[in-house]
Amino acid sequence: MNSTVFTYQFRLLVRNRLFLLCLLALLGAGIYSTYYGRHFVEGQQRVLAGMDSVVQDRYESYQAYRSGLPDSLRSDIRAYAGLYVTAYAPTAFTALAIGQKDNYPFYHEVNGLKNIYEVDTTTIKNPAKQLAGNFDLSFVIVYLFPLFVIVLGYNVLSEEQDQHTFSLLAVQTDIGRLVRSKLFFRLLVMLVLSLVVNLTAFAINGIPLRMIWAMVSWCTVSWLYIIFWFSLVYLVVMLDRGGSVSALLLGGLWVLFLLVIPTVVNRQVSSLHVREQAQTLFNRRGDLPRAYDLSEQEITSQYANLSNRHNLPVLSDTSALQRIMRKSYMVGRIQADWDNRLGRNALEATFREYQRALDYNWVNPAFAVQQCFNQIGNTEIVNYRDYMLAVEHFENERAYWLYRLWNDPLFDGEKDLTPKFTQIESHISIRTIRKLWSLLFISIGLWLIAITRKL
Amino acid sequence: MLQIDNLTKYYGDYQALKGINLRVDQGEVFCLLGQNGAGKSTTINLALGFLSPSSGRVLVNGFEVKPGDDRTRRMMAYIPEVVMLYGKLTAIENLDYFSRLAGFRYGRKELEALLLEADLQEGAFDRYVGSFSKGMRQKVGIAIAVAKNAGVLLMDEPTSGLDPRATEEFSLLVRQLSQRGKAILIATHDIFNAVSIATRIGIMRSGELLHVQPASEVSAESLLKLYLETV
Amino acid sequence: MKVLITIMRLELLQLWRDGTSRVLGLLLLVLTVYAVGSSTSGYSEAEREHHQLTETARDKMVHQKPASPHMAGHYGHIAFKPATFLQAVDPGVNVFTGTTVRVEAHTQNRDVFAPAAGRSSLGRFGEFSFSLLLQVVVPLLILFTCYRSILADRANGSLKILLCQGISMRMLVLGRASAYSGVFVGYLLLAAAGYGAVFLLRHEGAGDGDGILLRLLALVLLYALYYMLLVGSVVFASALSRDASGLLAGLLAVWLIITIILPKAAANIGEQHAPLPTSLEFAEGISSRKGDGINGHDRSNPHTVAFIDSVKRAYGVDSVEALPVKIGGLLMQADEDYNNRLYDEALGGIEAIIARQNRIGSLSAYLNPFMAVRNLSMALAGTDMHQHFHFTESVELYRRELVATLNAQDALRESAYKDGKGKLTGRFWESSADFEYAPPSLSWSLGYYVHELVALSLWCFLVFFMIYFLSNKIRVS
Repeated sequence: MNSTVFTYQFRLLVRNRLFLLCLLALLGAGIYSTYYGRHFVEGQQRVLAGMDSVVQDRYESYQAYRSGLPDSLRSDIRAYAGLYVTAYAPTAFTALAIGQKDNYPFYHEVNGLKNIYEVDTTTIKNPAKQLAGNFDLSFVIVYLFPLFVIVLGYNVLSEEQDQHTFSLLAVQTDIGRLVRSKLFFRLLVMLVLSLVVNLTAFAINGIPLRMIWAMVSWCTVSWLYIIFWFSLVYLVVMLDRGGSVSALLLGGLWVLFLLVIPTVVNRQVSSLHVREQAQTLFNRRGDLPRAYDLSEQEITSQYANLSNRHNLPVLSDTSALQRIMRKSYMVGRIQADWDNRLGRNALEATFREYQRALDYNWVNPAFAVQQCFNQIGNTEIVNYRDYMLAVEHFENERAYWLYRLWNDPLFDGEKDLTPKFTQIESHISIRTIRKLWSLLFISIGLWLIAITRKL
Repeated sequence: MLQIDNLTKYYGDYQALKGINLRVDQGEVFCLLGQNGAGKSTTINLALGFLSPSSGRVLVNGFEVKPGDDRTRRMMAYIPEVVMLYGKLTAIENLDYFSRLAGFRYGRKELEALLLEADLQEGAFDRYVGSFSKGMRQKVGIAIAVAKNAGVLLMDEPTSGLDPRATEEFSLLVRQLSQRGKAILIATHDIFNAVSIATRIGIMRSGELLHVQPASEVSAESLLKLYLETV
Repeated sequence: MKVLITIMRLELLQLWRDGTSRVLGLLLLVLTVYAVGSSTSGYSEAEREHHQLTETARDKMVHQKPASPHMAGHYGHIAFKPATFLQAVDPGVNVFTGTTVRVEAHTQNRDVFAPAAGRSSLGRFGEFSFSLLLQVVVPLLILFTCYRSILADRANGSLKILLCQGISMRMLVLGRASAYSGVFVGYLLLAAAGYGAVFLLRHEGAGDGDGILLRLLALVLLYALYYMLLVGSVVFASALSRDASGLLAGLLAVWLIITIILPKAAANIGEQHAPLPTSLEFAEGISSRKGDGINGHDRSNPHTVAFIDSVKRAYGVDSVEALPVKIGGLLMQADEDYNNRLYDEALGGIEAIIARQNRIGSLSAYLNPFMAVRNLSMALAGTDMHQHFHFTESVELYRRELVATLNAQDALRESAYKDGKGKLTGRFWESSADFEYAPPSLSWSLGYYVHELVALSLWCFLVFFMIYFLSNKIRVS
């Protein structure tokens, strides 16, 4: 039966002007969203290139300054310890799932003096634009694909009733099987369409073949989502309440899953965080205790308690200058830890909210899918958190390296081991897809319930 | 052969059919007459397995009809009152689609032969059915029924909305089908057409089959008189 | 009139008897109760936080360590944006604008901490607010309940009978539209009553200095107009159409385009039409121009030298020591004045670009009534960009007054507020005013939305025109 149904469903669909229009609109939306995402990524890349130029300019200025120094002084300056910029650069998939990338700072100047968590913005933003959101490919898949699925599938039974072919069909074959075949065909149409849109997006954004697993992940997530919506359509259709009621129910489900549930979950798991932000400001202007006010004994014990401390070698030079430099380094690390902790706590608090939200994935498919896309695009809070923790670690490493370079003559052989910050790669793993298991189980459950209903 | 034994149907408290008994043999055309709400369409729907009887049974070639039962469905063909079909498919495509769903694969020539047999003009074969008149759609419906090669044909108000010429063409086809040994049950209001094509005629009222007699023993006028007296 | 009422009564009776409508109505009621409850409790929490943090900041300000007026200027203060009751109705851009501003000398911190920064993508789905229901869900409901209002009569053949009774198509469309409008406006009034009751209970005796109740009524009027516009359009479309599925699909497509697609597209086009500078460009622009003016921290700066010379000349002295005032204070104020000009220009430029971006959305209201309603809703709730700029400007005004006062104290060789070492005492801070934000008036809020007001009026007029003048031209068969 499938081949017969597929053949004639194909002919009917291509002769349906409304369907062709919707198809074109969806393709158009997919392509527009791809270019939109690309434009966003290029903007961030331009800024990062600008920062690279600034760093390069300062390095060249430093070199010029150094070359003008007398020989005796020049040798004391053993390495460039000036501006270093870490980048949370957009990846190839960021254009497809901008996520929170437009809200997170995407570069940090690391010089040991600034609190990395106090960089509240690296772009000037229009809040009204942020409210409108981004028109990226993940938006098209999460919001528009289900609508197309509903348009394709809501009348798979009722159209036969409305055009009085139902009774004829019921005599010719098993109507339940016929409905399943029709839906299966339309599911295939949707899957193929999503594949075309996705592959086009990959091509436009120049995603290299070596990222094949990310591409497979992206397509798999899209397909799981489409299958979920088709399961809903199947169940609603099998309730046999007529086309209008089916459309009403499915439209209601769209509103429920895409507008109501995510916002309700957001309200349930999120809190204001104004207090944490205020603490950061209070700390910035010196309201909270400073490490510089600690006694020598307190400095030593606080430093020993730091989780990311380096074991400092015994001082070979016990001159006052060296001791001051050593104390200054330890105080600096303690203060950095205190400063960073405030920002880290705020970030951890929002990360915990994100994890709490994941517990609701079984009723919140839109968010479940969106955050998967974002993880592939390296634009979810989990990616940002990884980046910030890496920056914190890097800052600590760099501070230690600088201290050793400037204060320990025996450090000569290690001066080429300048800590370098490496870009955090996106999570492309089964773990990302695993979060969608609930979606798959629910889809299977819905199909099974629908199959048992008799028409 | 179609046999209905003591068929009863309740819709809630309302009894739509009250123990109908009838039999349609091979080559026989049985016309069910009755006013609206008499139970004609209910009888047809029960016979097709679209509804479950409250009691009684329907047998097709000795097999009991049960809703969702493939075996008995294959033995029956159906022409509904409103034959709309798929407006964006041609006549040939509609015939091919429905035939394949029933498990029959015909080539182009065979499909054309079926449509010709149903008296559809050749120029309409490749036209979208959406542009057809009711009569033309009726002919495609007949072709679909014939293509199934079923032994039993059920028709619900087949001449409703047809002009006299189309009605006459339809009657001719029905006679040809009965001559080929099909058992045909027709629910209709059309007394004159019933007299012309039926072997036997039954009159229903309020879910009961009150009169059954051979068509050869009545004229249209006497049948009308009997009909009016009954209903 | 009697005929109209008859048509309305029958329509309402059918709606009441329709199981689907009852279920939808119940669902809407549940969502509304949840929205009202959760948003007002969210507002209470925000208000509580605001009070506590404001008190904490004030306490730190008053009890800060004695410091010179100059260092006190660097220490500064922290201002918090107060929660407004109507943000419970429509949170607007508040999620993205933040509520905390550092007030300090030499720097204008208009880029406040934003709650949205550092959040997961769940935040991009938005908050469950009453405005989400009003702007997105209720219009969908209107669509589903009204699309068959006249189409059903055409489908079952009763349309011709109705018209034969002497009822015109115009009367039929008007009557049905009025019935449904009454239902949705009634719902609005019920919800507004809920909000109003909550507001009055929380603010017993406090009065309504901020015009909350007036704004609430204005919101009801706004949404009432929008719903009447929608109902009228859908009922008219129902009268025109002959195919239920096609009409429903078409209306859903229109809803999707006007509610989801066009607002995003307008914002994106605005962003591309008037791109904002990067933070780097902004910072470099300011720092490059700082060198062209006075630097209060660098006495060798030529502009600083010139300023000092001009002060000496004004006072007729040869050295700064001979001045009756401390040159440091005057220098800092001159530095501050120059920086203020720089920042005003730079930030003014940013605000102008943002305004140009948002103008696209504003103008799109002529094509899309939803944009008019969305923007006006934020304006009435006080959660739009203009009110945010009003807040940041108020903070800036407060900052300038505070810094000017501090610089004046710095300039005084002796002062009742300074101790022997020239450091400010607690008396000074106790007498210093705290930042208090007075929200703008309703007319001020609406003054920025002329396009939206005109567009909405035009849309209402268009729908009225359609119903009144074109209904009777609709072919019946």
